[in-house]
Amino acid sequence: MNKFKKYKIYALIFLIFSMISAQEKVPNIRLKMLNGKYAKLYDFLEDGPMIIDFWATWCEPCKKQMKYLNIFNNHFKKNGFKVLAINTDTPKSMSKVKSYVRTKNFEFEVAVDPNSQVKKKMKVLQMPTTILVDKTGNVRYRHQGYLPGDEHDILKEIYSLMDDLKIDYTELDLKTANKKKVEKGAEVDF
Amino acid sequence: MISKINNQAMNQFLFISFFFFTVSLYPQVNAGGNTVLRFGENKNELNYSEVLLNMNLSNEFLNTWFQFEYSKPPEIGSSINGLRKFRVDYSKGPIELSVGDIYKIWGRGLILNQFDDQDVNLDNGYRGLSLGLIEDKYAFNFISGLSNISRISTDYWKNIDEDSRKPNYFSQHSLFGSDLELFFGQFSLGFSALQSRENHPLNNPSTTMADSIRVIHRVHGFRSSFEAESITGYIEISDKLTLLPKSEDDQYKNSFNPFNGQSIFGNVNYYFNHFPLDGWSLTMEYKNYNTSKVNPSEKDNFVRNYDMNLIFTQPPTALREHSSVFLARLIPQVNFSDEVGYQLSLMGPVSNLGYFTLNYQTASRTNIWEKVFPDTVNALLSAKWYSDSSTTFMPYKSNVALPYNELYIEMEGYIENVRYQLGFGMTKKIPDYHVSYNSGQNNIWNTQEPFEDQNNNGIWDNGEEFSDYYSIVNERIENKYVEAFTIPSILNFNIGNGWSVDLKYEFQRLKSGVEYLNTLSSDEFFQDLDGDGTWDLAEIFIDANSNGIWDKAEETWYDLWQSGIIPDDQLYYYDLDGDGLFTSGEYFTDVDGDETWDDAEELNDTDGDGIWDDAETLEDINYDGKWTKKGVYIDSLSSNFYIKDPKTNELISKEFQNNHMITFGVGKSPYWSLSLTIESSSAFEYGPQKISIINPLEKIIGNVIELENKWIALEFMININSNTRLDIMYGTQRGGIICSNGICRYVAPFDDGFKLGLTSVF
Repeated sequence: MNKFKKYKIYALIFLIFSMISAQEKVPNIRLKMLNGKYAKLYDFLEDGPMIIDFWATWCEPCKKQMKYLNIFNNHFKKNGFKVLAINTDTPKSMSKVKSYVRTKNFEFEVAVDPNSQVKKKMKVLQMPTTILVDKTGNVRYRHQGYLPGDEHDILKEIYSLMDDLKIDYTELDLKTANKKKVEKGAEVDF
Repeated sequence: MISKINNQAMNQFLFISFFFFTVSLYPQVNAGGNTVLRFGENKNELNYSEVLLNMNLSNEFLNTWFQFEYSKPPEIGSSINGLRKFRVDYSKGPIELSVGDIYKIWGRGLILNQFDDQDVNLDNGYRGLSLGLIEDKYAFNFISGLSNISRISTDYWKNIDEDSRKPNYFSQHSLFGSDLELFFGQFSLGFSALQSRENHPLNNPSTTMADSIRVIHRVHGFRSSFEAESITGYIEISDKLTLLPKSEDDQYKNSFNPFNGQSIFGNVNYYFNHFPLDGWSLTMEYKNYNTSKVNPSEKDNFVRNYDMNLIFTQPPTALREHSSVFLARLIPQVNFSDEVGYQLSLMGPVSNLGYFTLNYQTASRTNIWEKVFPDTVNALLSAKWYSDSSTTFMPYKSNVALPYNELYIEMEGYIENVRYQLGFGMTKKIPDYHVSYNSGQNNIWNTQEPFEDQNNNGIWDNGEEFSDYYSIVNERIENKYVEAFTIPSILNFNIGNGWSVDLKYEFQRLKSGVEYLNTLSSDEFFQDLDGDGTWDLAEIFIDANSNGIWDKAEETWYDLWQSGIIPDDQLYYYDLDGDGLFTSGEYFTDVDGDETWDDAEELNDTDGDGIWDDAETLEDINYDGKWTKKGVYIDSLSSNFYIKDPKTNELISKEFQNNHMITFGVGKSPYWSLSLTIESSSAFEYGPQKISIINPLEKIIGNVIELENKWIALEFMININSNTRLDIMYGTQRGGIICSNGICRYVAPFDDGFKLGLTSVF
C-alpha cells in the first residue's frame, strides 16, 4: 500500500511538472449554441484568435466583465478576433439567457453549457473565467474572476497575441469606448 | 478488504502511469488539469477537508478526464480517497462516443438532466456509454449505464446522520434511453425516451426494517422550439410511468399505488422593437409538473413515494436565481414531480439611467388536499388524505397547496464610474402544512356504540355500560408561513489604476412562524353538575352557601358561623384557639377523611392528584384550558422569533426579524481583494442556541458595535498568478438554507473558524 502511495506521489509530481512546461491547448469540443444548434469550438478559430468566456446570469462579476468583452469583440472583429461567451446557467435560467443577451445588444457568439460539461473539459473552476486562445487553439492567457480593472490586463494580452501573430490592428481606447457606451444608454452594463 | 485497497491503489497508479506515459510519448497530446483545495475548521464542528484533482488529456479526437478526490470529511457527502470519476470522449466527424462517468441533458431536462452539484450533494450522472450522431439536420443520442445515487433522507430510518452531511440513502438505477433532435430552419423538434430500473431502498411497511424493492420508471416526451425576429418559443411535454415488476412482493403492490402523469414546460421570449419599449424583453415561463401525487405531510418523502424518485428528471424551476444573499435564502424547494407555476420577467433600458427589471414568480402544488374521515366513529384511526382529481393549469392560493410567490423589482446601471444596483423583493410562501388530531370520549351513548343490554330489551338504557368511542375530534392545522420584504443594494466604485471599492447593503424584514387553525367535530364534554347547560369553572364543587361561586373551604366552621348556622355560644367548639379566625386544623367538614383540612374540601378529586383543579372533569380536547363548542374556534400565530428581556432574561416573542448585511470591500486588479461582511439580526430564532466564542476579529469590531446576534467574516482573495487563486475566510457565517438546481439543504452556522480555498489550473 505504502509503495503505491509513494509511486503515486512521484507520478503526480512528475506529471504536474511535465504539464506546466507543456503548451496548454483547448480541446475541439462540440458546443450547443443559443439557438439550439451544434458547433465545434475550432470552427470559431477559423478567422483568428478568440476569447472564450464562461459566465452565468446570476454571476455579478461576469456581467460586469461582459460589457468589455463586447467592446473587444466589436473593435477587433475586423481583425478576425472574436469572443465566444459560454453560458453555464442550469436549465432553470436558460430562458433568460436569450433575452439578457438580446436586451444588452451583445454581438458576440453565445453557447450554452447547462450541466457544466464544457466547463469541466476546459478546466474552468470559477466564474467568470476568461481564456484567450490563438488560431490553433493554444491557450495564451487564462484569468479567473473579475475585479474592476482586469479588462486592461485582458486587453494587454490581446495586443500581445495580435503582435505575435503579426495581425495589424488599431489600439482600443477603453475609456472612450466605455464612455460612448454609457452615453448610448442601451449599452449600459450591469 | 486489504486486497480491495490494493486493487484500488493499483488502479490509481495505473491511471496515473497511463497519463504520464501518454504525455511523454505523444507530444501532440495536450495535457492539463486543475486542483481545488477546500479546508474549513470552526468551533461548531463544521470541519471539512477536501482536495479535488481533475486531469484532462486530449488530442484531436480523444478527450479523457479523471477526477480524484481526497476528503475526510467533505463539507457534505461521503469521504472518498481515490479516483472519483473518469471518462473518455471520442469525437470525429458526426460521431461522439463517451465511456465512463457521463452527464447528459436532453432539452430542458424534463426527461434527462444530469449534473454533479456538490453544494447540495446531488450527483445523478451514470457510468456507462453514450453514443451520439450529430449532423446539421439532426442529432441523435443513445445512452446506457448504471447510476448510483446517494442522498440524505430522514424518511429512511437507517444510518441517519445527525448533522445532515453524510448521505444515508443509496439507490441504484440501470439506465437506457435515446433522444432525437431534428432541425428545420427556425424550428426544431425533439423526441426522447428513457427507462430506469431502480433498486429502491425503503422501510418495510410491516416490519419497519430497511428493505428494498425493484421499480421501473419509464418516461418519454417531445419538445419543440422556434426562433423569429421578435419572438422565440419553447415547449416540452413528457409522460411518466412508474410500476413494480410482476415478481415484486404483494405487500408493496398493495401498500402504495404509484401515480403516473405528465409534465409540461413552456417558455416564450418577446422582444419589443417599438417606442416606448424599444430594446425591452418579456420572458414568460410556465411549468406544470404532475407525475406524482404526494400529500402535504409527505411532500419530500421520496422513500415511500417511490414514484417521485426518478432523479434524472430535473426540469427548470421557473424561479429567478438571486445574487442577493437574503433573497436566495427564501427560494423554495421545488418538487419536480408535483408543481405548477409561472414566471414573468420584464427587462429593459430606462433612458441612460440603467436597466429596469420586474420579475414575478408564483408556484404551488398541483392539487388541493383534504384530510377526511371515512369512519366517523373511529375518526382518529381512519383519517386519510384525499385530493381532488381535477387538473389545474394555474397555481393555487390555498395554504394546503403550499403556495409561493415573489415580486422583485430592480434598477441598475452606471453613474460615471460608479455602478449601482437597487432592488426590492416581496416574498410570501407556505413551506409546510400539517394536520394533527386530538380526541376524547363524550360519555354519551351513540347508536353506533355497542352496549351491554342487561335487561335484554334491545335498547340502551341509562346505566347500561357501553363502549364509548373516541368520537370528539379536534383537528389542528399547522402551517409554517414566511413573509418578507428585502432590499438589496450595491455600489461599486471604480477608482482607477486597478483600484476599486465595493459597498453592499441588504435589509430584510422577515416574518416567519406557524399558523394554527383548530376545528372541533363536536362540543367538548363536561359534567354539568349544576344542570345549567353551560360549563362553569369548578363545576363540581358543592355550593354550600348557594352564592353561585366557589369559596375556599366552603364547608368550614367559619363560613357556617358567618352565616349564623353556628351560634356564637358554640363557637369555641370550632374556633379552637379562640381567636375568632379560622385556622388550619380547626373544625371542618373532613370529606376525604384525611384528618387535615383541605381547600375546597368538598372537591370531587377526579384526577386523584389531591388538589382541586379548575374544571376537573372537562374533556379539554384542544388543550386551550376552557370549554369549547364545536366549530372553528382559534386562529393564532406563533412567531419563530424572540428577544430576551435584559432585566428578567425572559423570552419575548417578536413578530418580525429585521436582518441587515453590510459588506465593505476593496480590491486591486488583478492581484487581490479584501472584504469585511457583517450580518446582524434583531431577534433570535427559537431552537438550540450555541454560545459563540468571541474571536480576535470580533473583539476589534466589538469596540465599535454590539456583538450579540451578529456574524462577522473577513475574506481575502489573492490571485497568485493568472491560473492560481487563493481564498481565505476568517470569522463567523450565519447558517441557513442554500438552494441549487431547485434542491435545498440546511447549512449549519460556521462559528469562529477559517475556510481556505485554493484553485489552480495547470
